[in-house]
Amino acid sequence: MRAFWKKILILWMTAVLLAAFLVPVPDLPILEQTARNLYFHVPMWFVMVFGFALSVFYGVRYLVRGRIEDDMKAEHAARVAALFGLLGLLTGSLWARFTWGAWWNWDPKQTLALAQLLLLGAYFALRGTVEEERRRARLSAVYAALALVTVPFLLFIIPRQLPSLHPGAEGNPAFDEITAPQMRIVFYASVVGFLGLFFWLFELSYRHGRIRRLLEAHRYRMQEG
Amino acid sequence: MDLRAWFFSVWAVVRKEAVSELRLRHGLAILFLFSAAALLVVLFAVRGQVRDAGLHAALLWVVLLFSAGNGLGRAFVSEEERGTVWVLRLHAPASAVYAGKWLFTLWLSALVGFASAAVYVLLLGLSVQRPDVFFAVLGLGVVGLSAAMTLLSALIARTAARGPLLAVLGFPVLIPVLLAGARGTEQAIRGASFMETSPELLALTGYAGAVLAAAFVLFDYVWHE
Repeated sequence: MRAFWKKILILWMTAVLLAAFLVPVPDLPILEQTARNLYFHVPMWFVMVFGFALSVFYGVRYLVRGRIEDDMKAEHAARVAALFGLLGLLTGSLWARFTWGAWWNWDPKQTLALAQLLLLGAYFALRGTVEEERRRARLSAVYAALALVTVPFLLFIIPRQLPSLHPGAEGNPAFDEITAPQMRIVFYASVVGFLGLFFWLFELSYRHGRIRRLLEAHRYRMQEG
Repeated sequence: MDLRAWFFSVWAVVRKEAVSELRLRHGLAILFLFSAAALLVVLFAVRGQVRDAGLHAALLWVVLLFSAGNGLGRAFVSEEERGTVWVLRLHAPASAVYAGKWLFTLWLSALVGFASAAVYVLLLGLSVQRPDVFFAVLGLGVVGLSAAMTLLSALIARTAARGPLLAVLGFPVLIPVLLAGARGTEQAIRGASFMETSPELLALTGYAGAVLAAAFVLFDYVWHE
């Protein structure tokens, strides 16, 4: 019964994948069949932003309550978020090559995404340099909270400096103008599916981390005699 | 603790910083030599051939960021190395330590920042149309820069890899300052008024305020074990 939602998710994602490749998309110039990337690329970014926010939430909760589980959750949420961020970057770059003509265009959203991935990278670098568990938890939570304060300024500044190629910006057609109703249904279903996938991976990653920690503690006790 | 005692603590920390910096002059000398070196590299590379205000502004901010990254991260590292952290911990409340360290860092970075900006402008014969806007952008940028760097310095002082980590942690957090600063500087060189530069000035002010507020809250968690 515990894994019931996972069975549902398997069926759900199968349906999403089938629909993503089989449901006809409107024949738009330039976009053509690449429009199907909408079902993968965009949900991946949503999930990364969500995972990042979740990680900061657990980090701050660690600072408030001081439970090491919260820090572990923060770390694993950030890990899974980074995975989805990288996938989002790859799918986006591929998409940009075939619609905008180059692998990288310094579009505001691309730049923001890159900044966020750099933040995640710095977060892991910081974690890697601190041996002591409690100190690592505290320092990385502080860094994540500082990052959370600075990201809104990026949202404000970057779009003012670079012209955007993404839909919905400066005269580009908005999201609902270029998406047919059947596409929107598949898209929302995909967002839900990817969020479910995030929680599945997050749970696995967190459990793996917890077991490894227990094993290490056990090994340490054995050595002590 | 009443406010007067708090301000007294802050002032004591600032004075202690100034005295120990002046006693070991090499710290200050290294800071200035480093920004001079960064400046010279840029000047040699450019050799007066750049006519674009945007490029000048970007180069100037890269110099500022490099000097900040290398010189300003020392605030807490040297404390940890000399083992004098405990004296500070015993004699001043955490917020007063942060405030004092920040004020001294601000003073240093303003000194280095204005000096390198002046050298850059003079040696390249750059005509800045609105010096008042130029210095306002620079000043506000330096406030945000020093506020973030002081907190990060306290953070990396508790980790194993101190030197390279500061740049890794600092850059993603400082992107808003870099972008808004470069843009504001560019506009000042071109002769934009305070009204026209207000988005950048507001972003820099907001950034400095937000980071300072966050730092005062978060510093406690870095400072106490």
